[in-house]
Amino acid sequence: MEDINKNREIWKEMMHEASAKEIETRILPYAYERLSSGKFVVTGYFGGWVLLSEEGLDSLKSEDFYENKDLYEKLKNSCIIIDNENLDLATGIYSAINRNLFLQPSLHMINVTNTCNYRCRYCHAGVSQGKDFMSRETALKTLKFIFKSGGPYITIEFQGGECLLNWKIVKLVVEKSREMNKIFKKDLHICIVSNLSLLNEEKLRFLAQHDVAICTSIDGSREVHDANRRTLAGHDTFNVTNDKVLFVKDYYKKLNLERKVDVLATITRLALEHPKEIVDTYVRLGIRTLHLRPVQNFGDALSRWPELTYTPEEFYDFWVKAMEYVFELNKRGIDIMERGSFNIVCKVLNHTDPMYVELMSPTGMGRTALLYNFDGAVYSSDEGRMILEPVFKIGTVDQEPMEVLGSEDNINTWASSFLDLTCYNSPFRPWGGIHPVKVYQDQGTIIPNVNMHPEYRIYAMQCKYLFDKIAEDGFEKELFMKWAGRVIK
Amino acid sequence: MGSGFEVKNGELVLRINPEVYSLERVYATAYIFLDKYYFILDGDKNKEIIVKIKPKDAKQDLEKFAYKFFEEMLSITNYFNQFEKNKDVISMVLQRALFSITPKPLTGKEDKEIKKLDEEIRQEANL
Ligand code: SF4
Repeated sequence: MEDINKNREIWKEMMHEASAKEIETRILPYAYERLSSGKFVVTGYFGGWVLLSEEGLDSLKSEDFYENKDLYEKLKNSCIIIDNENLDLATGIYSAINRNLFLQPSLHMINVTNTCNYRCRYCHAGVSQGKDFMSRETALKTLKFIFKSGGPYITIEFQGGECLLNWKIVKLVVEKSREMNKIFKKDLHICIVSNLSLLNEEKLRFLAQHDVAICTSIDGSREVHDANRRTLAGHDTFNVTNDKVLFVKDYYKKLNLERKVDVLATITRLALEHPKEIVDTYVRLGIRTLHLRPVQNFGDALSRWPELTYTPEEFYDFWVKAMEYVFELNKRGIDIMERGSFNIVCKVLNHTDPMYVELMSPTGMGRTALLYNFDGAVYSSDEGRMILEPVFKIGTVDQEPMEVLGSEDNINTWASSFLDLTCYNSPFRPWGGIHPVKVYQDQGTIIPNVNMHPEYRIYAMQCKYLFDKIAEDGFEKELFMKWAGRVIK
Repeated sequence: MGSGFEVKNGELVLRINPEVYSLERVYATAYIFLDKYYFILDGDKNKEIIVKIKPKDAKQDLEKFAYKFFEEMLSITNYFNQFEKNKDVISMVLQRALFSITPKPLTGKEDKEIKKLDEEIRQEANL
């Protein structure tokens, strides 16, 4: 306690010093890119941005904008130029789009088992090799670790394998954490990721009573889903998932609960030809948030990677087709949002942090998010447990949280993921991030070469597309503004 | 010694004046193109830096790439010069943002709750 008070005093003093300095107007590092309309998006170091004509950009480059009042104001409001007057604005923008930096871990993923009753073609968790379950003792230690790791927000997310195969541990953690939270009073959210095949009324009642959100996977149309996601015995699964989603929705409706089911789509090569059908499947099920995520080369996906994968450009083409259809549906009054775009427009248009770990710089791994494995090992991310070498294992639940978070391996991972160092000239840098586990898997090192990282290339193309739409200043921009104002837990 | 380049036997050789571009900037520029080219760095960081470049795909236009390399190096140098010049303001903004985090210790009641959990863990371990 004494230490914390002492630190507060030191901070106050440093804060005072930081505010007291007089600074003359100057240009901070900035980056720009030409959009389809011929305008340029110009981004300041702290995440403010402005659209400029070529002439405006030339004035910025040659530093002769001081006489042009309109341009001067634009540059100041976006904190591309800075002085004492807009220092608070720059601090505010940076803090808001990087809120994750100022919070203790908030996403706690618990892998209750590494086995599953399905055998999806791309299973990232590699369940074909799994046969383990988390014990009561490890579950209790995990809870202790979570509640001791501090921070006002806690999201507990059950991951697997198939979590419902270890139902007694799911129940234990849910009941205990809700009970403990009567004392801790955190903003506590609990979520279970499941294929839903083992969900019955009794389990659903428990989950609803304890306010546990449900998340599942539908890869799109029946054809694509059934090709990707099959039971251990080799049966189709589309009907089962479809029916269970409807079962949950009906149950919520009966009880007048304002809840929704979250659904994710993993995009494999097979899905690239079906953007419309994927969106239609979601709309038919009444799902309002669509998350199109590229398949990853982890776990069981490794053995059939060539048939699952595609180039970043191929994925981008697919995503654009899906987006154009999403716009068309929204124009017809059907409310559907694409989650990947939401993560970007939140930061760009609303200066808020969607707390999406993969778009944090430095990485949110081992900082915002932690993964507790069935055996009590703590990993800096969900994907960290999926690679063969224990590079991203940062400790165990028997240790103190601070010891694990401050471990050298963990800190080295953060340090390696500062985007500033590697994509200095991208205007999309302030809102992006890279995922060190994916970099390690692709490039064999945690030091990224961003230009070669497929997910960052997709991110940059998506940003450019979103900015093209923003610059058009029409229906799409309005829609993004609406999305950006939403709160997603 | 001025900077320049020559293309010979499918290889591009850049000669760089270290008074204009430092070795760090040469490294940073080469790093950006690692997906398309092999690089061998040679020479003397105080007199002349030599970069030998071989394309991974033989069809690349090496003369065009030489200009692209110098252009990128100029852009990197400009960006980091600006960064250096503004280091004080950048760190001031970052400091102001980071000062808002204050770690919160456990309260008495929370500590008691953790001790209760410890007891359960002990019992579980003895089963
Ligand atoms: S992806 Fe999920 S449902 Fe499919 S095999 Fe893996 S753990 Fe099971």
